[in-house]
Amino acid sequence: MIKLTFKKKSESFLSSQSMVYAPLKKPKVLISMGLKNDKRLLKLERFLKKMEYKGSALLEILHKTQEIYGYLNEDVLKYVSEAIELPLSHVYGVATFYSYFKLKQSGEHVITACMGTACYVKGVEKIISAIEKRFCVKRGGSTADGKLSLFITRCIGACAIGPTILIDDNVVGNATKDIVLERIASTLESEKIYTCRYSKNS
Amino acid sequence: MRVKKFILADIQKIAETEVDFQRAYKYRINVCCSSGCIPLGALNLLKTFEKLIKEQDVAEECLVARTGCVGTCSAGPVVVVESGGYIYQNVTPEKAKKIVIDHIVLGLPVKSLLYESKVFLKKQHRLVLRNAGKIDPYRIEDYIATGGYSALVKCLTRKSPQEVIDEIRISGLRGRGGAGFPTARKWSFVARDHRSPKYIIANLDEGDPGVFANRTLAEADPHALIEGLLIAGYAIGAEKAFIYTRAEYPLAIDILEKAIKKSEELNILGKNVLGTTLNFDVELRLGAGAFVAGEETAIIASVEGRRAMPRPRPPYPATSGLWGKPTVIQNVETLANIPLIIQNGGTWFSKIGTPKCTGTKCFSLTGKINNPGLIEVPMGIPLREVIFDIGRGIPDNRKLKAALIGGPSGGCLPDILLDSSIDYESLETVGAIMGSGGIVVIDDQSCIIDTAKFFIDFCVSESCGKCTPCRVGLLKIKEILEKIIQGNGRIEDVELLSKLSTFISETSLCGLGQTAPNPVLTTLRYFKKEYLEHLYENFCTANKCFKKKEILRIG
Repeated sequence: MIKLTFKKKSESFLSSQSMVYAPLKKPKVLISMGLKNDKRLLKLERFLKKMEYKGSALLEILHKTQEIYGYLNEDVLKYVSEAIELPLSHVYGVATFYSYFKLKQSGEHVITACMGTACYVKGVEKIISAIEKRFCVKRGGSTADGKLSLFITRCIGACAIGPTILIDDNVVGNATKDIVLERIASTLESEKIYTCRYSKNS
Repeated sequence: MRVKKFILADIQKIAETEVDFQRAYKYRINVCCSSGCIPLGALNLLKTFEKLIKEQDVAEECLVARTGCVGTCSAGPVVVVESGGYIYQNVTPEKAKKIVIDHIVLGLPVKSLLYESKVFLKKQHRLVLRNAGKIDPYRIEDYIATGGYSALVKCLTRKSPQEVIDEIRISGLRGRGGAGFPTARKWSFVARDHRSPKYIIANLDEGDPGVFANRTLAEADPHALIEGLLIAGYAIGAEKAFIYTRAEYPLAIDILEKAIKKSEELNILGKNVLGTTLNFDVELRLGAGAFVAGEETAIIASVEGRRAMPRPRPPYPATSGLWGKPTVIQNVETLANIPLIIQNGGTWFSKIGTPKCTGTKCFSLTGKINNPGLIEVPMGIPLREVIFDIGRGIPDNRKLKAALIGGPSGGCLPDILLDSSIDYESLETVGAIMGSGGIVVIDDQSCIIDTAKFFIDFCVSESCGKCTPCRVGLLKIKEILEKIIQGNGRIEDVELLSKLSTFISETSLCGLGQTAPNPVLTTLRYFKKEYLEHLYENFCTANKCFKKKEILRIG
């Protein structure tokens, strides 16, 4: 494995703020890690510096990484582990432990169904299975064309207006099957009909 | 240019200026912009009101402000017109116009749009939520004008750290996180320790599904939390606090971040707080969706940037907490109580509630109930009053089946037990726990075994996997419950479930495992008939079980 040397608390890179594409590392090293020397990496590096490359800020760093890249892929985890000098196994362990971190790229649109007690009691389960049937997507997965992902979350804290479904970042309160299906369809903006085959007990 | 350093006396000045500023207005329109009302269009409504008062030319006598949760979440979006506390429900832009013209311009409250709030507010005792729905969480001046930070000033000028702890001891305040450990005792352990640094963690990791009391509190009154942290820091000699919040709460994160920043600007946080020798910093830490992180040793691991896995105690966090240093971990609601106790005295506080459980408790009231929302009641109030008076009963005249109190590790209480009072001991005797304050009501449309399975399901997925009883045992319980639901249960299963549950709660490492079987134990205790009906007769009163599931195949 290629050993990178990170100079801590020094002004080695990013010394001039005006350079957007500052040469962070040798491009070859980055390519071997599967990362491009682009804006996203620069952002991440800036945040790492702000956190002083501290291992104790790992959760914050992973949050930021997910915000920048959309999900945590293996290459970027490797990069983070090198930067904060923690074993990759530790970083990977933390990333997989917390359900908020996604290790797979999610679809273009994300549906998040709240599975809190209040929403469950009010029948969110029916809405979820309706979405699954209509758009041919399994909970925790994406459609084959990568347009739509369906996730389950444990309570978004808007229990009084349950059942709640999040379509991207918009909360649909007091949701019913019809409203949700219609809203998702209009979000997708396509007339494509998803066809599924059903079979009992197979 | 030198930045002005604020000192103690400035708090008084800020308060006076703000009070004068607010007095200039005859009316104040408070638009509830909490997580419950925003999805229903509260932010648009705020803009509408701002536009309307300009159009109607009343901008000089009417102030429009965004506030935290009013509490009547079912009637959202909610708008409160002060003075007088007129609560308007389900406000739309059209109704907004009517309210501005009739109420503000003509001075006649629109009766047809008012929310029936008599019983809802009468039975409550809003202490911690005193500012919720009344002040703008983004403006520190608003908080200071209501007497905020005066408790801190009182501590810094007139009380020694020991006196602060004594005051809390007199008040009898107990941790609101669920276990009910006396706060003063926790503090004095750490205060006695001479090592430094010491830390405080405010626990806002409200992972229980169906509970939103702490979150709403932090969104409505963030400075009460910060003031509580400051006083705690002063009392125990800590200089650093972390607020550990869930990443799923974007609004709370935003409000807290801005509140911390604003406090730093006013020199309330940072070096030499308000010109005294106290140094205090608050940092926000985000969780990442792990229910177990609410456990105190797990929260420490998470703040340190590790997997949130509990460890055996002792050593307790008070002696070996964050990075091995003495640490106090306190629930947000407990901390929000502290400024009140200092301001009004411990004796005043100890008279509220029951002698053993003083004070009030916030609950989020949800599920099949007519009037869900955020409430605060004195300790010792019967559960029935909460559900039927404040919550106004079950919709569609259905029958209440059970009240689930304390989240997934709480218990399911049947109708006959609703007269038991809400305090730590009474709830424990009936098999439930206080938890972080959630009451979910279910009616006869829900199957009790399905509900128990839902909770066990949750705990299985949230179990960290460190100790075997929790990791394997809960999975076994889930399998048995699934078998019963599918109609393949055996008669022996009831006894097996009860044995297994007791075993898990006795041998698990942390609170999660110890309390996770509670839903099964309480349903076995109070709803045994339903279990037997499922087993002997393949009969489900709610008609939910014994259905063969369609299996979806993607192609």
